Amino acid sequence: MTEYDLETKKALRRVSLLEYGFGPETLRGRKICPACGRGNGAYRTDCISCGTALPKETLYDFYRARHRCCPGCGVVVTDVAVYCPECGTWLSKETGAKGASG
Amino acid sequence: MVQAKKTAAYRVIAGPGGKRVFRFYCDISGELCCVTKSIRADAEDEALEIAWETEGRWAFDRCPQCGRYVSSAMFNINAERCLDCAPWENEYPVFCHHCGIRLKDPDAFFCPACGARLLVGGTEEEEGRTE
Repeated sequence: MTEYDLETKKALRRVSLLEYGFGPETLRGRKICPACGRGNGAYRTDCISCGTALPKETLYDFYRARHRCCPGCGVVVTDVAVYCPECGTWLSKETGAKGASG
Repeated sequence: MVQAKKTAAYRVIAGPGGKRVFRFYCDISGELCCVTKSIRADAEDEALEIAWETEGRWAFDRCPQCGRYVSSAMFNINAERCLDCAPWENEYPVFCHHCGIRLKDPDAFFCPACGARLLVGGTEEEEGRTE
């Protein structure tokens, strides 16, 4: 597979995930209103439904806070990863925060 | 064992004449995913069942591992689990997560050097090894 083919595949996958509301791009583009729970665009500062001030953090920040993250590139990594699959950084057992509850 | 959970988190708004509106929320992020139409029933349990079966459940993905109902945003469609049970993984990893070598074939399922499965999909296996 050429570099061009790979980039095309990745771009198509990103678009299809976004279209159906899945994936990291969807998380980056959304904020949740702390008062009514309505999903808002990440660019908004107040809730489109109730007007409550929205937090700065997007759903992606919320997601990252619940998992191990690579100290090199910041991407979320699985519990079993020893090296970051994105940048190759060695991950110690203590790497990152994981606050997810069962 | 997954604990059977009947519905996603919800709030009830009681209206006149025994009508109730249910608001269903993602079990992880708390995002509002469904607001039902007014439902009339004698008891709240009965109204909840109608609201969930006719409208609520179709707005959620259920994680088979933890049993929670989550929004699409909090669901890993590749692993078919919620993001708490299976965080997103790059479908075309650059390095092996187990031994750290740079991968030449982005479509490979297993690492050519150590044999580790490259996408673990939320598995609880020790270090993602296949054998």
